[in-house]
This record gives sequence, structure tokens and C-alpha cells, in this order.
Amino acid sequence: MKCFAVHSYKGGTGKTTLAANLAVIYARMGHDVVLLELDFQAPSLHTLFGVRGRDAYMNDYLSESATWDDVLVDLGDNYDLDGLLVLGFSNPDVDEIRKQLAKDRKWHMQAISQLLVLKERLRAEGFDYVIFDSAPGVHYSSVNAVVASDFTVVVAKIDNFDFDGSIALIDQLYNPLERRAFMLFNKVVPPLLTGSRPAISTAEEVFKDKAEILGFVPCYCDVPLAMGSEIQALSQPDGPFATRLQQVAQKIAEIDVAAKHGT
Amino acid sequence: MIRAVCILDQGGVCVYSRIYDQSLADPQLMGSLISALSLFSRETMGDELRAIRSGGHLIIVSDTAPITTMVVADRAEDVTSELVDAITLRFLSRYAHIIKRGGELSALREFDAVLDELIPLGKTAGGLIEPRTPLDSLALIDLPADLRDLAVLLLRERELSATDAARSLSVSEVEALEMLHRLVSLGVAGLRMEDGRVVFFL
Ligand SMILES: Nc1ncnc2c1ncn2[C@@H]1O[C@H](COP(=O)(O)OP(=O)(O)O)[C@@H](O)[C@H]1O
Ligand SMILES: [Mg+2]
Repeated sequence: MKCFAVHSYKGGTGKTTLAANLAVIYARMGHDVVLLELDFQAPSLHTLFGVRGRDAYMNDYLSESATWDDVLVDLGDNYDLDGLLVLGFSNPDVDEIRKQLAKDRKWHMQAISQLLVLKERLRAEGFDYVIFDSAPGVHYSSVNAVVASDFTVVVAKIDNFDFDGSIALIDQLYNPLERRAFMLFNKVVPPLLTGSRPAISTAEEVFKDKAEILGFVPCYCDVPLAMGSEIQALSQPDGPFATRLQQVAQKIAEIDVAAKHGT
Repeated sequence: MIRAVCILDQGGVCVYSRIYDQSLADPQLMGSLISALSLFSRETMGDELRAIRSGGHLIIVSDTAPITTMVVADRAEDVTSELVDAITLRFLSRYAHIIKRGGELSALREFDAVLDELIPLGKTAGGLIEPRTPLDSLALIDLPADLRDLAVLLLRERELSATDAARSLSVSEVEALEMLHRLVSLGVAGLRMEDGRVVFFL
């Protein structure tokens, strides 16, 4: 089983979009996948998957007021996928989001414990991929996601905010926790990807000794055109966006999770 | 009931302390008091101080250069001279070089594990040490790297014996015990007695 967090320094880099598409791509390939939403500040997966009014959310599982059975839902059949596509949503209710912000250290300790228990459970059940869609930055919930995962996929744009921020995360979060980081550049403006490509060389130079680069995903207008309720890997599995992400999925599949950090 | 064990160096500075009863005075303060009293009794009565009674507690003192061992208990029956000697000898055999040459005192924390062997937790105040801070993911970042896997295991299991930890991490039980005690010393784990064995918890 591979378990990774999709994380970033800033918000809006495309974590949720990429996590959901990667999950669908693996499930289409026949893998059993779990996608857990651990961004409690800006829940979005329910919008993307068109799911409303769940009885129990990840918030409840982490608080131990619901079992993982109550929270997780398999959508694989809905989309005619070969593998399981199991989702755990975070609660989009504004009151709940506010409550989440007021949780103390003890709650977050319990949350990480619950997450680790769930991961072991999913491993025992034979799942192939567990993906955490995390909040940006260094909120407790994001650090918990990083701790519970085997490695981190860092989604960044090609700009200096994200370069500096991602380097800070690598140096001050992933490295101390001995989690390998894999950079995935998203929303790359197409001109940057053609010609002499100096921006790409800069990215390669900046992250040379820091993290492996999984790829560069161009900015496609089709993606926001769907208004956040379309998963390209489902609606246009052979389109350019999904095709690009299939290559990324392949690279992630080749990551050796047994290899220790720094080796 | 034993409430504390402190080891002082020749200057009367407390280099190691294990406080079972959190309501006791600061070990540094107690150390200064004991070393002053000890000097006073030696100079005025020509004898080494063995025990003093203070605030309902009995403080047993044993001078074995270069350290002074101090055990705080309720009654004389709680502390045999064999126990005080055993603490002194085990401490000296491990750390005499650090005390003499002045080294990194944090290494002395490993003595917690030795004390737990010498003094069954049932005989200490409470038989329980509560964690001081939650082991959340930010605390995890600050932990020494060699304790991290154990800390994650403890987070998942919530409580562990040294035997459980040794099995899961494929290390010896002695190593597991030593690491678990370090988590207790850092304040992110607690310990309690259960059916005659020590259980570490969050
Ligand atoms: N490669 C891309 N090209 C164009 N728009 C994208 C791309 N990836 C993501 N987006 C858009 O960016 C916005 C933010 O994406 P989202 O996945 O919610 O980011 P995050 O989860 O990091 O906050 C969404 O409107 C999404 O459709
Ligand atoms: Mg998101």
C-alpha cells in the first residue's frame, strides 16, 4: 500500500483537483483507492464528487464520534470503475469549520492517532492507495496528514511564493519528520513549457538536492471551466489533463515506500 | 511510599532527579538545603548526615564521593540501606565519568529506567507519571529523530509495554524500555503499573 499526502505551502495550487484525479486514475486502473479529505478549513471534495448531506464526516471519525465505517463511502460503482474508490469527506458546514479551528492540542493528538489506526486498517483490508487531500500550510491537520503518510506530493505553481514556501516546508517540516517530498508543478502557463524553458530549468535547479520532481502540469482552461464539479479523469479520461496526470500517477506508483528518507 | 530520588554532585547541585510526587519542592532547592545541612552536621557533630525529617517526609542521605544520593520517603521502612546503596552504585557505575568531568547531563535521564527496576512503581507515590504535554504532530517534529518511530507507534496504539514496543520496532526490550523512558522524561508520555508491568501511555 502507498499512502501519500497532497500538500502545498499556499492554497489554491490544485491539491484537491489533482488528488481527486489521481484517485480516479488509480481506481480506473483497477486499484483499490481511498481518498480522505483532511482539509477542514475549506472542504471541497463533496462539491467535486457532487455528494451532499452525509451523516458522518472525517471530523466525526477523528473525534471518535463515528466509526470509519460510518464515514467512508465507496463511489467506485457510481462511476463504473474497476477498483474501489472510497471517499471520506470533511464537514462543509460553516459552524463545523469554526469548531474545527478551536480544537486543542489534545484533540489533534487524538486525531493523528485515529488517522494512524485507520491507515493500518486500510492496509489490512488490502487497499492499494490511500491519498490525503490536505490543507495548505502548517495547520495541525496538514501536519497530521504528513505524519500519517509515507511521503508527500507537494503541489506548487511556478512562482517564487511557491518555490520559497515549498523549500521551507521541505526544510522545516518534511525533513525533520523524515518524509520524502515529491514536487508536482501545476497550473504551469503553457509558454513556460515550450522553447528554451528557463522557468522549468529554474525549478529543477531550485529543487535539485531537495526533492524529486514528479512533473509539470500545464494550466488548462478546461479545468476551471467545469466550475469545480467535474473530474477530468472521469469526464475526459483521454483529454490532455488526464493524460498528463496518468504519467504522474505512473511515477508515483514507482516510488519505493520502503526506502528510508535520504537513502 | 517513595516520593523522590535526587543525586547531587559535590557542589550540592542536583544533577539528576526523579520526582514521583509532583507536590514536592523543586529538586534544586531541596538539593541546596540538603547539602547545606549535610555540611553543617559534619562540621558541628563530626558525623555524616543520614536522615532528616521535614514536613512529614523523611529524607535519607548517603554520601559517596563524588555524589550524594537523596531519597524522599514517608517512613523509614520505605527505604532500606540496600536500596540507597544500589541506587548510588548503579548511578556511579554509569555516570561517574560524566560527574567528574562535567559532561552532558541529559544522558543521565536514562537512569529513569534503572530506577524503575530498583523501585517498583507500586512503592512510589501514585505509581503513575502523567504526560505533561500532548504528543501532537508538532511535538513530534521536536522529538529526537531516534524516538520518532516509537512515538508514532505509541500514537497509534495509545498505550504500550516495552515488550510490545520491542516487538513492533524489532529492537531489544532494553532498548525499547530506555526509549520509552526518554519519552516520559520529555513529558510526552506517561507511565503506570498494571498487573505488575509498566505500561506507557499518552
Ligand atoms: N492544471 C490546472 N489548470 C487550470 N486550473 C486548475 C488546474 N488545477 C487546478 N485548477 C483550478 O484551480 C482552482 C483551485 O484548485 P483546488 O484543487 O481547489 O486547489 P487547492 O485544493 O490546492 O486549494 C480550481 O478552480 C481548479 O479548477
Ligand atoms: Mg483543497
